[in-house]
Formats: sequence, structure tokens, C-alpha cells
Amino acid sequence: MAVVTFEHIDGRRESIEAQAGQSLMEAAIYSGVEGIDADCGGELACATCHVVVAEEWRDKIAPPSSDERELLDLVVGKGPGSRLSCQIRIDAALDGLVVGVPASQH
Amino acid sequence: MATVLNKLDLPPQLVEEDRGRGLFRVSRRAFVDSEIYRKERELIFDRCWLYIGHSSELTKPNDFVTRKVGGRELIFNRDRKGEYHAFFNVCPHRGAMLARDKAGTTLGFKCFYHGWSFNNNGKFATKMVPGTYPEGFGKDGCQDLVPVPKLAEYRGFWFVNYDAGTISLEEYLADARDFLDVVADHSPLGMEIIGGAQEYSLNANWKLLVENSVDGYHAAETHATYLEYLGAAIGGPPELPTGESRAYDLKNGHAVIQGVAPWGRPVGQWIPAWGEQGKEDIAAIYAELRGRVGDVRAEQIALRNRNMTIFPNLVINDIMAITVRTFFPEAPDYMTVVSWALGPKDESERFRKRRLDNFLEFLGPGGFATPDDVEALESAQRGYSNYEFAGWNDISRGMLKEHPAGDDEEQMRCFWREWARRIEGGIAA
Amino acid sequence: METALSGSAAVSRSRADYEDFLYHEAALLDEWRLEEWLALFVAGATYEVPTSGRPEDVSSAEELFYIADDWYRLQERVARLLKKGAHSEWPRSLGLRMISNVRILGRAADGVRIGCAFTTYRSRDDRTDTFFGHHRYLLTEVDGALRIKEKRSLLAMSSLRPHGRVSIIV
Repeated sequence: MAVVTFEHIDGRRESIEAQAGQSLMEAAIYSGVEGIDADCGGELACATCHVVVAEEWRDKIAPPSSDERELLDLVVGKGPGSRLSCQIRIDAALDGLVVGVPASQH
Repeated sequence: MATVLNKLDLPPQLVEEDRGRGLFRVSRRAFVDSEIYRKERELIFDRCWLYIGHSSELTKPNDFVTRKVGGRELIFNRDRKGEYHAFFNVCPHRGAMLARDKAGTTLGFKCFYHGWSFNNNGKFATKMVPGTYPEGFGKDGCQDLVPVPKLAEYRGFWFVNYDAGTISLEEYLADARDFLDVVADHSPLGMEIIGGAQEYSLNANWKLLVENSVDGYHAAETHATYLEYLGAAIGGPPELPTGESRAYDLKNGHAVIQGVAPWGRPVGQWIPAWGEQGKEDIAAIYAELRGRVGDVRAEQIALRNRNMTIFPNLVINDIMAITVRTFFPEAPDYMTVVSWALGPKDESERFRKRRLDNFLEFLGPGGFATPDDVEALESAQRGYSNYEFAGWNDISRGMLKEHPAGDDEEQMRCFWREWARRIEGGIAA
Repeated sequence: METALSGSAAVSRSRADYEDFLYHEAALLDEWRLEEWLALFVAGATYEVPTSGRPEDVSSAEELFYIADDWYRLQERVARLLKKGAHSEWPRSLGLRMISNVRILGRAADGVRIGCAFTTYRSRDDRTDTFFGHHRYLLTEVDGALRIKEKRSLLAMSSLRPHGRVSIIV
């Protein structure tokens, strides 16, 4: 279990409890966090579960696979720290994770 | 000298009714002819409301089941907001089936062939590298999952219709609604499909199973061995007063027979085999019923049995257990059948076991009754190979009575009148 | 659950003993000697056939099966099958039961767990249906003879199509 905080562009911070084994995307969807569209539901197809990982956490998350990297090229507003949240698996080591929610997924 | 065959001069009409003389007959051609079968697919199965599933099969958002309904592979699911959908289970790309599990929970569907992915509300959700497809590809809805034209629900029973211009489900169900209410009202918490569907088949025309499912007349003969078995459980020879049960025309081809029977009913009819504990349990259930729906309705729910057909191919039999059964003709002489058990949510373990035991003693391909029905219908189908010489089924029983009984054949005549209306524009006088 | 057994704490019978028993059971069923087949069960025995594809330990108190006979109903099933009024099996179908892959699965408090694979052919009216899957038994000893306490037949066909019925003892 890990507490994850989502920072929205209007400055609002939203903290949720994510279950170990879930993806960050699933945790967001099931907790009703807005701004994570995840149109394909975690199948690594839509590039709309884009989050920006806070700088201090970037090297604490397993790096993206080549499939994720390919799809990351298609996200809206890609920058350093951009990840697809469906590919980030929650475990206790991520307790306290902070990610930014982009202005739009499309 | 050439032999002259004395085949019947078969009139073109398939259903004949003479109310004055009390005669009703159906041409056996209706059970064997390929052209009639093709017409049924087009004029009945592509126009009528067909049962797809029960609310209780999709308990949470993102749940889905897959099944073939009316000859088409469908996904029946709930999206992330919990809305119910029915989609054609075919990838908009090159047609592979999108969901191949029988049931599951998923936020999105991904086709295993090329990876095209979709939100579980049907929207296309795959980003392509720019230049692969035209600008705007996938954004206009053309790559979304195709929804079934109509999806609607009544008291937890969900139906689809392939005819976008059809009447509403409520209007279609007509007077069957009241009897669906009776079934849905067994429990204060609602009803649920109990796990484990029975999937079987018959080498017989689908309309034979419609008839058989509401046939009170055959019980004493076909199911004599079941009734002998029942005798011990109820402490004496069973009396099946099918002559006292009533048939009701529910309009639009639907019909029900309702009456008393000697077997136990988990919702309210005790039998000695259930012992004193069972007696107390039943009394408590009956008391709750009376408090919730009133004395008259409680008696109807607890003590009366119902065999109901919803045109064209849904049977709900509320007898010693409740079965929801649907079937579909793959050919004039072959149908696939799915049979579920329905019961109250939160039923006690004791009663759930009683209900399932009751079900299996009679119903289902391993029961003491259904296999003999299969035998009877398959036997009839073989008999129909003689249709050119022995061409008619007689379904006249009870036609001159003011109130036909469960062991008469009015409930079949309701079906055939609607069938004739759709297939040949009406009944020949 | 399957546990490999070894050593003197294991069952005293060889696998061949159990195979002989299963072949004998199959022969009785093939020959419609149902009363003798029933005599292979102890009083209180159960006989179950879940629907296809369910977990091996699925409960008949929670899910719809094809057959979930307690001892009383199993006796009644046999009695019924021997009557002409069991129309699905009158005239009697011909049958053949092939048993293989016999394994001793483990020892329980009240007997030995045995598993095997089966293929059962039922033939009638120019049509042959093939039932196949695994049998799971709990066998016990009575006066030096093997007896069945529990029998569960797990069908491996994806549905009962085109079989349409389980009117025989698979």
C-alpha cells in the first residue's frame, strides 16, 4: 500500500491510497482522480494516462520499457518526468510518490 | 406402371385455426424447412427483444460477459461509470473477437490480433504514429465498437433488439411484466443468477422447446419417473393438478401457465423432506412476503408455480426452483440452450442448497426430467421427416374452454399466433 | 490438492489395485449392471458432476451443477435409470468407458484420493456422443474391498453440445 499525491495544474493536491500490485493508473481511476483519462484501460495503446513524475521520484521508479517509450512520444505535452501511469506498478517503496496531472490528455 | 405417391397437398399456410370448431393445427414444415428457418432469423430473431442477461451478472462497473445472442457474438458490460452496454464482439480493425473470456472485469478491451484498444464504453483508444493513418483517424467514431441497436431492462432482466425501430421493451413485454414482477419480488433484496450455467443442445427445432417449457399435459406421462421419485420426498403419491392450473395469454406471443404443484418451493412451499427446521424457515419467508407484498401476492409467489414463455425464445420457469432458459436455432433441427438458476440474493446456505437440489432433481441435462424432454423433442424432430405424408401437429386441446388449463394447449397457441403473424402475416382461418 | 506419497505411511495398495477397481466399475456401467455399480458405494456416498470448466473444488451448495447427488438421490437415480420410463435411456444406449491416467493423489482422513482420466462413449440412433474428463474419487475400505465414498466427474468438454444430456453415468 502506498499513499500517492496527484498535483493538478490549478495547484490542488489530491492524495489517495494505492494498493500494492495495482498500476498507478488503476489507483487513480478507482479513486476518482480527475485528469487521468486512461482510455484504453491499461493496454499501453492510448497514451492518455500521462503523468509527470516529481523530480525526486524519477529514479525511484523502474524505467520505461521500449513499448512505453514509443507511446510516450505520442503524449500531449511530453517533458522530462513524463510517464504512462498504467506502467507504474505500486509497491510500498513508492509510498509518498508525487506526480503531476497534465492539463489535458488529448 | 409408375407408382403414384400420395403426398399431401400441403397448403402454403403453416398455422390454421378454426375457433368455431375448436381446432388448431401447425404444419410440420415449420419445423424442418430451411426457408422458414431463414425467415425466422430475419423476421423474428432480428426483430424481437432477445434476453441477454441479468443485472446480477454484472455487479460492478467494468464487469463484462460475452455471449452469443440471436446468432451474434456480443459483449454485455458496464463501463467505468456503471452504465450498461451491449456491443458487437468484433474488432473494428479486421474483425477478431475483442473479448474472448466468458466473463471478467476490465477497464478497456484490447484486441489480441493487432493490439487495437478500446475504452469499455466502446470508444476507440489507440494512438497511432503520425503518418500511419489519415489525419483524424479514429476520432470520428468510425473505429469505435458498434453498439447493439437496442438494449433495455425490466426488473433486472436485460434484453437486446437488433431492430433500431422496434417498440419499447415495456410495450413488447405487455402483460408478461406482471409475471416478471412476481419472479423479481421473491426476495426483498432482489434476485441473482447463481453461478454455473448449463450449456447444452438439442437435435430438434427451437419451437419444440418453447412448447415443451409450458406443457402441463406431458408431465404425468413423460415425467412419471420424476413424480414417483417425488412421492417419497413429499410423503405420499404426488398429485399434479395441471387440470386446475390456468393458462394466460400475455399478448405479443407471451404466455404463462400458473397453478399448484406438490413439490417444495424454496420461496414458500414446505415439504416433509425439509423437516421441522425447514418448516420454520419457510414460515419466516412467507411472513416477510406477506408484510412486503400483501396476502394475495404472497400466496401467488409462495404457493403457485409459473411456466412462462416470452416470445420468441425466453423461458422463465418458477417451479421447484427458478430457471431462466434461452435457446437459439443454429439449424432447423439443432438448437443451443443455456439454462441458469435464479434465486434470492443473500439466500441462506441451507436454502441455497435446497434450491439447487430441487433444480437438479428435475431440471438440467443431468436431472430426472429434462433428459426425457430432450428425448421427446428429438423424437418429434425425427418424426417430422414424415411431414410430407403426416403433415400436421394438432394443438387444439382446450380450445373450446372459457378458461384453458395448464394441461391444455392455449399457451402454445399464443406463441403460434404471434409466430404466424410475423412469418406469414397472420393465421389462415 | 494432490500430494505425492512415499514411505510406509503411504497407502497399502498399489496403483494396479485401484486401476482394477476402476476398470471393474467401468465394466459394470458399460453393461448396465447399475445395481452392482451402486453396491460399490458406501451408504452416505455422493456423486457429483459440475458444469464444465469450474474449479475442481467448486461447491454444489453454491453453484449450479449438472448432477449433485447425495446418497438418497444416487440410489433413486439408479432406480430410475432401470425403468422403462426413463425415456432418455430407453431403448438403452450402448456405451464404452475408457479409463486411464490413474493416479493416487493422496491420503485423506477417511480414505484415499484417486484420480483418473475417462473417455465415455454413448451411442444410440446412429449418433455417438463422447464425454471426457477426469474422475476424482475418495475410496475407502470395507471388509478388505474398495468402496466409493465420493465420486466427482469433471467434464473437460467445453459444453454439453452436441450431447444434450448426461442421462448415463459417465
